[in-house]
Amino acid sequence: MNLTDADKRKLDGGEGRAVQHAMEHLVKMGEAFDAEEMVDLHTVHVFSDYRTVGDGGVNFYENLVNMGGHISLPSSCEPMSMDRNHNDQFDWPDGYEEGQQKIVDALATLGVQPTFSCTHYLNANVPKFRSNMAWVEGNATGFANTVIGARGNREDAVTSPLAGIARRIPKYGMLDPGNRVGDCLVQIDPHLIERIGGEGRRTADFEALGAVIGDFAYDRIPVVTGLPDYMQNEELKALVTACSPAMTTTLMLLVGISPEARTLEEAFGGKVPKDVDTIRVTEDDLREMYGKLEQTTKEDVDIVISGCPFKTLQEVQELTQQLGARKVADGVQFYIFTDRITFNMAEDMGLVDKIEAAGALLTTDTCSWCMPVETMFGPDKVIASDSMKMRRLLAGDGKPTWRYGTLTDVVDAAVTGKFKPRRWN
Amino acid sequence: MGETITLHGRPISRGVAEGEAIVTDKALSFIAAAITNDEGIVRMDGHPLQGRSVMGKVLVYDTDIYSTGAGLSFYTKWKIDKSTPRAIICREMHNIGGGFTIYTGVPSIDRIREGLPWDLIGDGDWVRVDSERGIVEVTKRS
Repeated sequence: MNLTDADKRKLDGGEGRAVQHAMEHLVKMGEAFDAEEMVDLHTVHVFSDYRTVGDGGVNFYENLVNMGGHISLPSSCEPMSMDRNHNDQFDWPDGYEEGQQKIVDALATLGVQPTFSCTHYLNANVPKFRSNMAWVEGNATGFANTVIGARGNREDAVTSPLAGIARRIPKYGMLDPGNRVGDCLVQIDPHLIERIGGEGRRTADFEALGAVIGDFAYDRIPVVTGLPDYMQNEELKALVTACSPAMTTTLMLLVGISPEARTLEEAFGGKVPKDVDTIRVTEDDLREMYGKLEQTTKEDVDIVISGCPFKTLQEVQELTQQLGARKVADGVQFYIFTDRITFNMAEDMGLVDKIEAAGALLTTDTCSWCMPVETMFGPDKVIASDSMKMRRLLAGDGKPTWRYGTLTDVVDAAVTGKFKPRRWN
Repeated sequence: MGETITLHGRPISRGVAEGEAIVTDKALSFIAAAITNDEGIVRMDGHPLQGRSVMGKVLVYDTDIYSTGAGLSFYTKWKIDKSTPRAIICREMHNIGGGFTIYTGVPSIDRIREGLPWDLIGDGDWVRVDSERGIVEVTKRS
C-alpha cells in the first residue's frame, strides 16, 4: 500500500503513540484487503454499549485514552446499555452500570460526541455526498451510502475509533468508488408499491421488503428498480435496515433515489450486465417474509418493542396517534426507543406524557439489543415487534420468542395483550 | 492420522496456529448475543453450529454477518475470556472479521484457491493455518 509522507510520520510515531497504534492497525487492514492507498477520513461513529463490547471493550477504550488518543473529527456513538433516566424500570446485572460508565467516560475523554444513537445520520452526525466514513452500525452505513452517497464500509468496532484517531482509512470496499456498482437486480412489482407502507404500516413493511432484497443480495450490491420516486426518510431508514442483519454489504443502489443510481445503467457502472441475476418482488414475497419473521402463533405477548432503528419524531407522533387514549394491558411491557434529541422534542410536544400515561416507556440512549435480553427477558417471553432487525438479531438459544407485525398490530397487542396480525392477509 | 492436504489462500491476519476444525458453510457473528463471550457457544437462531463452542478450534465459516460490534465482542473473548478460535478460515473475509483478527493477532485467511473451504475441511480434521505464507495444512480425521 502506498503511504504518503504524512502517513509515514504517523506510523513512525511523529504524532504520538495513539496515532501510531491506530496507523499500525490500519496499514495491516489496508494490506490485507488490497487497498492501494489511504484516504482522509471525514466522520466517525463508534460502539458504546457494555453488553456488546464487554470488559475487553472497556480495556480497549481506556488503553486509547492512556495513549493520549483523541478524535477531532465529526463523531457520534451507538446506543449504550441502559437508559439512565429510567434506571428503576430495569434490573441490570451486577457490575453493569459501572462497566457502562467507564465506557461513557472513556468516550468523552476521546472527544466522541455523546449521541448514543443509531440514527445519528438524521440529526447529529450527517455526512455529505462522497464523505469518507468510519462508521459502525449497518442501518447507518446503509442510509449514508445508499441515500446520501457517502462512502464507508460497515466498519468494525475496533477499526472505527482507530481510524478516527488517525484521521485516515484504507481505500477499500465502499470507500473505493470503483467498487460502488451493482452486482444483481431487484425489480419491485408495481402492485406491491400500490399497497406497501402507509400510516401504522410503513416501518414493518419496508423493513420486511429490505429483508427480501437483502436475503437475495446477501454479499452483493443490489440495484433496485420500481420504488416510488419520493420516499420519506422513515421509509428509507426501514428499507436499508437490511444492510445488517440480512446483507453483509452496505449499499443498495435505488434507481431514481440513490445519487449514484440516477439511471439503471449508471447503477451498474455504465451498462447493465447481460444475464444479471434478477428477482421480481411481489406482494407474495412480502407476505412470505412476514410469515418467516414469526417464530410462534401464540397470541399472548409479554413484551412489545418498537423503535429499531430509533424512532424519528414523526414516528413517535405516529405511535402516539395509534395509541390514542388507550392503556397498555396489565402484565405487558411496552418499550419504545429513540435518541435524546428526539426525546427532548417529543417531551416539548407533550408526547412523552401521553406515552407514559398509557403505561408505555419511551427510552433514550438505549434499546433491547444493547441490553442483556437473556437475563432480563428470558427464553419464556413472547415479544411482538415491528422491527425485522431486532427480531433477527435477538432470536436464538436462550432468547425470547418473537412475533412480527405492523406498528398498528403491535400497539394493539400492547393494549390488549393479544397479538393478532392483520397485514397481508 | 489421515491424509494431509495443502491449501492456499489470501492472508488476512498473519500468524501460525493449529487445532481441530469446526466447520459451517453459513455466515457467523461474534457479537456477544450471537456467540457467548465466556464459552464461545453459538446462539444464533437456527444456525447449524447452535449450541457448539468455537473456543480453541480452527473455525471455518462463510463470512461475517450481523453487528459491527463483533469487533469488540471478539476482543473481549480474546482479552478476558480466552474463548476465541485459534485461527479462522473464511470463504470471503468481511472487513469486520479482518478488523478483529488483525487487532488480536488471531491468524486468519480467506479465498482458498482449491475450492470452498467447507468442501475441503471437515469437522474434526486437524488444521494448521500459516497465514504468514498463505498456507493451510489439513490432516483428515481418520
